[in-house]
Amino acid sequence: MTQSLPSPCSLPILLLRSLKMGGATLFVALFAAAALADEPLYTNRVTDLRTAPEDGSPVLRSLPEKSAVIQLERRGAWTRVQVVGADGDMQADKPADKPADKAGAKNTGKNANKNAVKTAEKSADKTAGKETGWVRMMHLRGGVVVVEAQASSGGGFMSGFGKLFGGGSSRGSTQAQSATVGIRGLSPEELKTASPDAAALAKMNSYKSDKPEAERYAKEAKLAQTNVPELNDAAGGRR
Amino acid sequence: MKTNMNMIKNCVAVLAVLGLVAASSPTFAFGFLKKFDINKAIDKGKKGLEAFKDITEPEEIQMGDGIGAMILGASPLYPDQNLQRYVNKIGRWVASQSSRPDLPWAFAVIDTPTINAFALPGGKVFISTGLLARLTSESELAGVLAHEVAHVMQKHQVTAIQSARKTGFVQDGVQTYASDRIGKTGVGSNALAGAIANAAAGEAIDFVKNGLFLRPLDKSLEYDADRLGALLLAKAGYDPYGLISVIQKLATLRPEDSAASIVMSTHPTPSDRLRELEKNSATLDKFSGQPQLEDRFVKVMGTVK
Repeated sequence: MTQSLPSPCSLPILLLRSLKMGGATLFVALFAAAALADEPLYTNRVTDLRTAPEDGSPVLRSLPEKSAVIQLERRGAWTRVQVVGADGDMQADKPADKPADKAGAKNTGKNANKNAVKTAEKSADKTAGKETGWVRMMHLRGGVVVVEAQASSGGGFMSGFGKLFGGGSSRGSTQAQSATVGIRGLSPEELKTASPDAAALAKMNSYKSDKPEAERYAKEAKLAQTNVPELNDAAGGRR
Repeated sequence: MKTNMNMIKNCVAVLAVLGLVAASSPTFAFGFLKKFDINKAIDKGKKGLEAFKDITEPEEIQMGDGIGAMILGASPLYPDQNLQRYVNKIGRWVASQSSRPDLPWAFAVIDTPTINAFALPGGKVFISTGLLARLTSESELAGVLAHEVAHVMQKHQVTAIQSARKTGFVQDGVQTYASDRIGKTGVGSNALAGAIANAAAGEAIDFVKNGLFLRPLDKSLEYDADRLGALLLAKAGYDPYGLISVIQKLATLRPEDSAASIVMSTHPTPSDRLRELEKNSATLDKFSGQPQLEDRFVKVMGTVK
């Protein structure tokens, strides 16, 4: 479980390589994903940047509220991030923050800012020389004021975007926009005018799993049914 | 009688949620008084009674088939059986932890850059390649599916369809049923084959054709699905932060990108969803050491053709 994950930026590349490009549409999907991966998250409170994903680990420094970070990987409730500055100031793009060699040993040089120096010695990957560390996931929010569109699903997953920093502290205005410009997919219009495809439905049903098979597959990965207390909508679990 | 009144009150409450009350009520009042037609009134009365009947589980499943056929008519299945089977095994395992473990659960990857996932009545769940391509672990995939399973478990879409039925009763002309229209419109009887050749599926198809499927659900239902989704994820033995991670990824998408803007509704925002989930972080943290399963996910994705 200590293995490093592909970063959000490298994921599309990984998929492009590994999916062997099944078709033009998938290419578009992955291309879109690549283009979408760069928006930073922001700390929505003062929070500690730590050396490891646990509360007791050494604190590198305290990040002020609204510090911009890029997600690198996740371990449970913690995200390893690269600090890029406050309010989107991309400090990490300074010349000193060019990816170092693999050992990261030469990156203490000339233009390195103090944050880069601080973390250079423990960084042995492409983020070497950049300020990285672990932050509680729940202390990060999106920082983009998002245009809201009309379409959502009947219970869709992507049911909304927007507002800065959560907690209702919306900055800027949102506006309605009809969705789906120039992209093939499930726009309201395309759905309304679609012809029902009974053959595809039958095919979908042919891929079904059943309880015993799903359980076997879960066990193969050492997933075990767990007793979890009910979650409620008024719990006070903020950390 | 008291029960009926309560049902009507509930109906109005649900319609208010959908924002339909203001638009539909006046039309009903004037239309009905202006020109009284006894046959039409009887017909309306029959439909009205139907509208107040609870949707049974078999009907719910048929409705899911109808909407599912429409979605697949708009967006094809991703043509890789291995991937489809993988998603079904993960989804079925999560659904087995729900209060409706014996529905005919079926999951599908649809080939569209749109970033979204859908749950349909009766246990049909779709995830787009656009969303799948953004995920990095099985716990994230299971998290998306768990959110959708939670919608089905709570019958959120069934409630929405039932509300639309009632709207059809209230406002004549806006909502017609496929059972009336088969053969008269594009939805001819020839098109309604196999699992969707029944009245409930036909009604569901009309639900989509009338643009009602894409209406956002109430915020509270989305929070409900997030909370229950995280619970199902942890019960299935996954790290529940898989779901939270995906919601956080949504927050990094550029809004002006069409793939991202397609499915945005007015609410709730990822920030609001995270804020709601954070209320339970003390409990969720206890299970955050459970597997994320990046390796299996990456391995399966690596075999996708």
